Amino acid sequence: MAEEKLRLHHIEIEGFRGVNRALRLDFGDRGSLICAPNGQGKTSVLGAIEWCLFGELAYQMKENTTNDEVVNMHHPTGESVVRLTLRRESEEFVIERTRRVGRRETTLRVTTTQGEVVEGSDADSFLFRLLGLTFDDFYRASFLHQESVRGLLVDEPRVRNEALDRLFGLDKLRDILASIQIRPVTEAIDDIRGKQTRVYDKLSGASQQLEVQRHRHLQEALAVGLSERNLTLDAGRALAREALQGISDFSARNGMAAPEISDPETVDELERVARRVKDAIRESRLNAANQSTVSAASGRLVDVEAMQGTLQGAATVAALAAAAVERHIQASGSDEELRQRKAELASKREEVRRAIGAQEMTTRLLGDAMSLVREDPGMKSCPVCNQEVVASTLFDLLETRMSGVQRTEHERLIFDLERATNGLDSLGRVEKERSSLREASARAQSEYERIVQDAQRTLPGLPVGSEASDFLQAEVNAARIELEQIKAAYLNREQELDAVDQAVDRLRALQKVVKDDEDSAGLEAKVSAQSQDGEENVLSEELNRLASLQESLEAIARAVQGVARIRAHEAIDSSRATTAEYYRLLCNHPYFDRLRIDAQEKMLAGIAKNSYVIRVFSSSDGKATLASSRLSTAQMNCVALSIYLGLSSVLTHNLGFVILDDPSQNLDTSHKASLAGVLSGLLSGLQVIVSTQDLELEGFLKERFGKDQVTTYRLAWTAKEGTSASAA
Amino acid sequence: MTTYTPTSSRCIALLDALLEDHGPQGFGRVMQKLLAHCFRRHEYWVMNNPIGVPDFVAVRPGKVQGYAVEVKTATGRKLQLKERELKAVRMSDHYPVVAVLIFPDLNPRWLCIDAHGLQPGALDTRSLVRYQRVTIDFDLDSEFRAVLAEFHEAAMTSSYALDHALHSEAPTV
Repeated sequence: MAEEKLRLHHIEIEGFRGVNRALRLDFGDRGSLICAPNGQGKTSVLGAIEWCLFGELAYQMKENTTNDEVVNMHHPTGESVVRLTLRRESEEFVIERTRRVGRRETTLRVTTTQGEVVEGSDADSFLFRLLGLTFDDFYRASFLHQESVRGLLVDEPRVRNEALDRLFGLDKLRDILASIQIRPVTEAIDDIRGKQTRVYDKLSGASQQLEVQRHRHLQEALAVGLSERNLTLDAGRALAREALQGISDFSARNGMAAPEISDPETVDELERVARRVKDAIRESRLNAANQSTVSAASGRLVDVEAMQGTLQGAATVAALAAAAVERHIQASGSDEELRQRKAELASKREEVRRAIGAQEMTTRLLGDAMSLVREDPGMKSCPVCNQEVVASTLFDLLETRMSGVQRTEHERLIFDLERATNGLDSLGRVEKERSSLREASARAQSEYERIVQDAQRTLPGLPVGSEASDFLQAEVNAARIELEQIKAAYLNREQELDAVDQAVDRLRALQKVVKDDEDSAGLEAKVSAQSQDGEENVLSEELNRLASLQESLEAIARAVQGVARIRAHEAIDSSRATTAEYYRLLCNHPYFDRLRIDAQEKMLAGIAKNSYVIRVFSSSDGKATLASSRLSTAQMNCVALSIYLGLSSVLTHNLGFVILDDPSQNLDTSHKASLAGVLSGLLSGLQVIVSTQDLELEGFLKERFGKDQVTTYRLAWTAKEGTSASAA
Repeated sequence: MTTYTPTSSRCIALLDALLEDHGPQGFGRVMQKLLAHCFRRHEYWVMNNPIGVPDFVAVRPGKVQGYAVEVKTATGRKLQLKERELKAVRMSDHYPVVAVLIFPDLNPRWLCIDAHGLQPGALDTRSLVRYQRVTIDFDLDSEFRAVLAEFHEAAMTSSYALDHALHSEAPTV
């Protein structure tokens, strides 16, 4: 026979949340209905039961000194008092919990049937033993809060998972998991690794640059004949000594002061030595250049060669001018011949001119005669000689003479005159040319003589004439020999300096590689110093600490989640059949008539948490779908009610009542009727307390419970009085 | 045998160049060859395993037990250690060693870990220092740096050039 369980007998409330003045509600043995529109205090009355039994409220807002979620702010004494009477067969337990406004602590007192009063922590222990369940289990077993249902109706999986965790009594574990903040640790680790990476990248970048530089310097060193194995400071010092010795020897041989350069001790000093020796080489070259007679010899040679060239040029010009005059005489004849030809031509021209004058006289006479005949065509005798003439015949005769002989003779004479004149002009031009050539020849000769005189000032022994050329050639040869000797001496010195210069170049090439190695060592030393004393060490330690913390947190989270996973599976498995049955009764879905909940693990913020999949199935063809995607809000509400009722029926505890706070949200009429039917089915073993603002549900419940099996209260609320109740 | 040992920073530059040139897998093969050569220089008889696991076995002449070495280069945060690889070094008659090149790091170095204490899977490279290590009887890191500097150019040229260069060095045994 099942043991009788604790039932609610009555409750007295004062100053609790929406209840201000004292309020008493007697619960019926079977069912109790608390009916009121929203905001009239239904949840406050049910919350009073919860608070009285456990001292806390599941969905309590965050409290502070100005926001007391328990004590009614208008209560005259500022105190909440809830007194709940539970009965089990003949036993009666009066549980009284009080709290002053603004205080966190509550006062609990339990009075037993025998009048024994238990208070304080003893009362808490007593109450736990009496009720046989925890605050969390109270929600799973006895009190279906409207918030528990509401969570399942939200689309967001996280909220649904939280609501289910709450229904399965796992919300504390979920809170623990939520409090394990692995992500900040992970972020801190990433941050430190990022810093380390940046440090590494800087070192890596600098190292690569150095390596590229070293490689280039190494190639330079190999190119000047150095071996990679000998690129050391000692080898550098030996090279430096070699260069110093070389410049000293050179200075001594050439009568110059040797530079004072000390032996190098460090890599940087190798470069100093190289620079100083280079300076000494440059100075030596400058000195040698200043002391050298190369430029004088070279200048002399250049002068003599120039003189030779000038003289040769002038002589050539003079010879050419004289030859031109000679060629002109040969071509045009001597001066005498020219004078003779000129006189002949002048005589001839004079003779022609006279013939022309005579010929012109004859022409005038002929013309006059023709004019006379023309004027007197009947002329019979000549007016000059009186000789008989025929005018027309005479005229014809005269005209024939005029146009024939007379004209031909005139043309011949004019041609002769022109030829003589042209010949004279031509002779004049020849004479002018000859004169010009003679002048040029004289100028060339004069220039040559001037140049010889100038050269004689430089070379006093310079002879005039053809011997000058030989004399000058001998001078050029002598200057060349002198210059070659000076050049040989210069080259010899240059070779010595080049040898020292090359030693310095090798020294510099070696110094660069050794310097690169030194820089590399310096870089490493810097990093090493940082890692020993500085940030890198701190970062590494911090990283190890955080990695250890991360591992610990992950281990804790895995352990907590392990418990949560097992408990979720237990809750689901234990209530699977009853939940499915309640779903079938409540939802009464025409197709998806079976319900199944599966728990999985899902990573959220680096931590595995329970994630639930609610599926509905069709018995007819086994087809399944996700409840949230297929069911309406009302049907999802039925799912929530099914889970709650399923769980409450399998949990073991000492409470013989269930409380449902406004369970008909979103339900349509048929669902409300089904809910009333299901709840009436509970009445045989449990006391059922339902608060509702839904008149339809109220009607169904009264109908299914039976009028004599249900106690109904109607609540009203005013700001001054708070909630008041009246039996309906 | 060690002649010239480059600094850590130069070692980083040389390894960076090899990693960039060969990619992670090729880089791993080059490191394996160079590491084996370090043992060879210290009078070990080194046998490369043609089937790949373990990567090589190094034994001193006249000795029975040497090292069975699995070479790992963890260029990422995680080091993948296969069960096959662990089994191969553990099943050999030699001391099982997983040699992990810690690179990229400010101080590139080898961690020679006792394979007995390792589990297959992805290991955080940071956590490797917590495992039991094997002490090699010569300064492996110095030798490795010297070998790296000496054979870097050959390694950058080609795998064949590296093999040729490594084998052209007269074996000490």
